[in-house]
Amino acid sequence: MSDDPAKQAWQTSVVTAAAPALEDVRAGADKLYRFVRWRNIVEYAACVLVVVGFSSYIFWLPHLLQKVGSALVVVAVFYVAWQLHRRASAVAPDSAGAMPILEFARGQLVRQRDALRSVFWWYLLPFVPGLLLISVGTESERAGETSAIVMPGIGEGVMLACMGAVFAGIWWFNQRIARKLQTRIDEIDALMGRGE
Amino acid sequence: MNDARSQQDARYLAAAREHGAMIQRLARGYEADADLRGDLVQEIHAALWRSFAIFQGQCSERSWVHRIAHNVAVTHMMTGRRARRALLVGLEEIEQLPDGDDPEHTTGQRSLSDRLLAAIHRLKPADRQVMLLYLEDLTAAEIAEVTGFSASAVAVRIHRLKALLAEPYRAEEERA
Repeated sequence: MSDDPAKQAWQTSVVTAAAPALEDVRAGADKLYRFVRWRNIVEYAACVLVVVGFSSYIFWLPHLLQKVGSALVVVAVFYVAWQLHRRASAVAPDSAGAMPILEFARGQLVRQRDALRSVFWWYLLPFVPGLLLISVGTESERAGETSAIVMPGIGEGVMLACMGAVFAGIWWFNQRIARKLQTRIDEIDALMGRGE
Repeated sequence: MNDARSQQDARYLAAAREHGAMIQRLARGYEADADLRGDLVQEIHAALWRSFAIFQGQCSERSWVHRIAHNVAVTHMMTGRRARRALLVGLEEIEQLPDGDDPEHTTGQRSLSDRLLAAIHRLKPADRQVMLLYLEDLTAAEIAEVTGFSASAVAVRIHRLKALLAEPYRAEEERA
């Protein structure tokens, strides 16, 4: 203990502290895994809902372009689910094997960061063709043309702009999370004494 | 793998016993809200446990624990909504220790530690790190090792800190 009064006062302000249970500490260290697993379950559930919804549109919507667009959205959902599994599935910490746990944690952070950074290409873009076709089909249907093509008017244009804004919001949110993950990667790199 | 894991557990538990109180004090310095402070302490312990998988004596264990704890705490502070709103200042802008947050304790060491805490809560992350490490009795060289600041940057901050901490006694002498 120091004889400096300020240091002494500070160090005696808390002199004992119980360490948290080891199980809780390990669970805290696995937070990323549990978060990713939960997020993916929500994403897969959303995929099921979208597939059910747009599959029914194939039968219920009257215009050919609406039917084709709905089918493309269903195909896009399967593609996104596959990409989600391939790029960003949760990898249990137990599968780290002999790899140092911090090295493993860094690898998982890099994987999630890369998936989020490229979210436009595999998560957003696949839906664009189907949604555009549905939009054109809806306008054509409104114009009373069940087989001819009528380009979207102001109403459909506003709808597409709103959809674009939602997509932009999703992209921005994912880039923000990717930047946070990068901060954690940098911290691990600093601890391990290396730069990426 | 099981051997490595149990060795990691054992090293973490020893460090948690040895430095647990310091981690609590550090968390008080970074987070004023009691609930969020509990979360921060948990985060620090989780990071500490993870880090013992790669700790191979790169520096002293004490410096290592401080480095991990400060890394987690600074990130916690910078991402906290409250910290983003708060107006934080540098050491050179604090002329005297403010009054403590707890009006019940106005005398003795408790009062001094409350005043130190009030000053710490006003500081920007870099100065906060140095003040906390100084109060934990780390040497200037150890502070530089933990923070990554240059020796001269640490020396300047310690000089300011000593002047700030001597201020109550200087004021007392002047009154006498």
